[in-house]
Amino acid sequence: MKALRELGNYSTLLYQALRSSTEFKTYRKSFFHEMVKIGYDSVPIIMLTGFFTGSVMTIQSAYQLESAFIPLSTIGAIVSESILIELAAVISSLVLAGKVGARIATELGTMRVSEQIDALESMGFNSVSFLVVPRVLAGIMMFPVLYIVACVFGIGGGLLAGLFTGTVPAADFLLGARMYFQPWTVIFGFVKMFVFGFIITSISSYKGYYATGGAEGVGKSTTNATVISCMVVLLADFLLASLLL
Amino acid sequence: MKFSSEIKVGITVLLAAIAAVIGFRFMSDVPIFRQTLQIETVFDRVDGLAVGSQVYIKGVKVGSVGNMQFTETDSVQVSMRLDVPNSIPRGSVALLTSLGLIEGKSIVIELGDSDERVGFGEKIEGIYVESMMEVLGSKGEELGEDVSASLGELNQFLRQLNKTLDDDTRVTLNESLESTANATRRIAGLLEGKENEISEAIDAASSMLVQLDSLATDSRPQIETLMASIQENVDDLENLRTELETTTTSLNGILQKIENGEGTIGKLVNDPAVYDNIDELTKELTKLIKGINENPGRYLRHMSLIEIF
Amino acid sequence: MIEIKNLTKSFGDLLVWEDVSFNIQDGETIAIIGKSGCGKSVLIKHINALLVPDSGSVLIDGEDIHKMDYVSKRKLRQKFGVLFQGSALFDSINTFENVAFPLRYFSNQSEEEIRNNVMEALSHVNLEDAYNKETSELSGGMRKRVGLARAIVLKPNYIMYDEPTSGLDPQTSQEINELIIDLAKSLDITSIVVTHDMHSVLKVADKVAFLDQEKLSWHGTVEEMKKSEHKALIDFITASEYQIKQRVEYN
Repeated sequence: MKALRELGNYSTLLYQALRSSTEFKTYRKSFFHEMVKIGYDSVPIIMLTGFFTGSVMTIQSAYQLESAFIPLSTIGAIVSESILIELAAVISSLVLAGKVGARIATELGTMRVSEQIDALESMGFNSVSFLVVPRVLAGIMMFPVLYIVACVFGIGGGLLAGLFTGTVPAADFLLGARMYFQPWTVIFGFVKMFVFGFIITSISSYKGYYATGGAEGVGKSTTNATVISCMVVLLADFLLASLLL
Repeated sequence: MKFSSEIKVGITVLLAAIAAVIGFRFMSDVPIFRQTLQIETVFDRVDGLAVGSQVYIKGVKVGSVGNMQFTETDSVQVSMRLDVPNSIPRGSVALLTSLGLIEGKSIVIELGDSDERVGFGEKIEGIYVESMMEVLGSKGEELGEDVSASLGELNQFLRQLNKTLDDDTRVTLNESLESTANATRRIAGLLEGKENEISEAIDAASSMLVQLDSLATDSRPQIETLMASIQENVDDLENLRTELETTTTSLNGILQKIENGEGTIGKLVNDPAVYDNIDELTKELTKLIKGINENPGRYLRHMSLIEIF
Repeated sequence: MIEIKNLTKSFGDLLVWEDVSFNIQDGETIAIIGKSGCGKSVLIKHINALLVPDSGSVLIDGEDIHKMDYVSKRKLRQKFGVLFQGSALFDSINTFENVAFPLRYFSNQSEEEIRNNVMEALSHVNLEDAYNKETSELSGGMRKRVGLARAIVLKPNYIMYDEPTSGLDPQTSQEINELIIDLAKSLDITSIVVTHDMHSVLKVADKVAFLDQEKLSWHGTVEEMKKSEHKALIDFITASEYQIKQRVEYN
């Protein structure tokens, strides 16, 4: 029952957001502000995540495929394919659920419990359009951008790790990476990130927007926002994979 | 310097878009900044070919396969992106082939000799080449039966050969060699007066040892089992020696007879033909073992094929 | 004029109050009093439709705010200035921007006009000097005053104070009370004050509404209240030594 009611509230909030998404004037400023917070400010952590994901993938695949019968290029293929189709999107999203999702939930939660949302409403603002819409829009626009960053740094990290540990020469890595490269994988990655961006920002906004009970309530909302975002991201990943592959 | 939100967002999106385009071209194996030559070819079928499969000219990788689609005539039109400085001559032929036994398919372009060049988007002839595996696959059963039949025979042959070498010949050979050497030694010690014969005997023995040596290097495994039995025999010899010690007197008597040229051993000592026979036998044996050793590939290849099938 | 008619509200199974009806005349200052948790703040959130009642209606100049569509509801809300309990200042922007915030979105004023209006609002609350202070630098009393400046910057017809003196020292409370009186006079504004501070009530209010036992237990003018024989009301207003003394004096 509780879950159903939450789903109902969530959908209502999304409906309000959709309906008020036309009031661009209201949220124009915070939209760009959010794009910076979600996109620009997350670039370093996504670079780092991508880079290490790639390098760890290379080193571990090289370790596991230590056999004379498997060509080294296979490692390049495994690393770049896994990064493009899965890891760049999912690992980045899980990291962003922590970074972006928690921030959104805390911000909105604090605004709710300190009556700033009421203040906005009582001034005649549409608080959903003012707070939720720019965040969700910025999310679905910037997540795919971050996907590119994660892919570039993931594959680059894999390549460099192979090069510097001496396990996979760059030429072999690239041969494998290119041999199994399919444009559809990248499109699929973009679709995933688009969906994950929506999931993380909307769930976090919802949790923050309806926070109750002071500082503790905000903390609870933030935790819930992150945990639920992560779970829904993984679920959506599964659904997308079974629907689109 | 402080940037406004719009500029930050703009920079991020622009850089990401550039990275995406470059990365995409890089991963698709298309030169990042240069235009590539796109040409088409048509095959009856394209089993094993995939988007991104590589295209070679004279063994140099020059590009990759773009998309593939059916034509109205139910053949498959394949487009390739090539990075060649000066296009390729008209009359060039695209062969769909595989470069290795288990690798995927590639396209190999055999250059024509026309002066005209193929333009952008033009079509060249395509030929589907059956790969070795496919040939093997279609003729596989037939071939498999043949191979397994001949291998059966071969196995039987090898078994027999082994048996012959192991049990009969080897033991016989051993025995004769040992008794010969033994006798030679004894005789050398005892027949001081017969220096000519002794020196002949030594020569023969040493040439025989050379033979044995080459035999040993050629067929170490066999020799090793041989040595084991020799070791046994040496032990026996030890007993034999003590017995011989006690029977020296009787031997002396016999040797008296040998000196007179009586009996088989007397003939062995006095008649070099016997050595020649042994010599020849050794040579034949060496040849046989050598033959097996040098040409095991024939049998072993069939053997490994059996495992493959 | 605001007419509150038969208003009932409950959160889930918990009844807040039922059948609350009273009128607020233009220009008067009404104090809504009652124990903590009796739903005073909830009541004023129904007046500008931040919350939706289970039944009943709130008529503002004859129009039912709860029956309006969202856009006209938001227009009407701009006739209300609200001073929230915790001031509800936006903490990412400074004092000036907080006060200028509604102007930037709801008026087509030039930067110059905005500046003038903001400084005028700040002068009403005696905070002209603090216009460039960050929100975090402000004391509790200053926050209330900035909140008040923001509430009046759109020149509302009504202003609602939610616990304006809670958490402030007696002297600052006194200043806020004087501000409430000042504003009511100088801006000719209708004020609705939610409080449990009887000192404040006696100082600023013309009328009193007393919420008790899930209903509007008593309402009338301050003079009437002083003479009232309503037991719960007497108990409430004489709960402190000081007020007992006052009551003795009045009698």
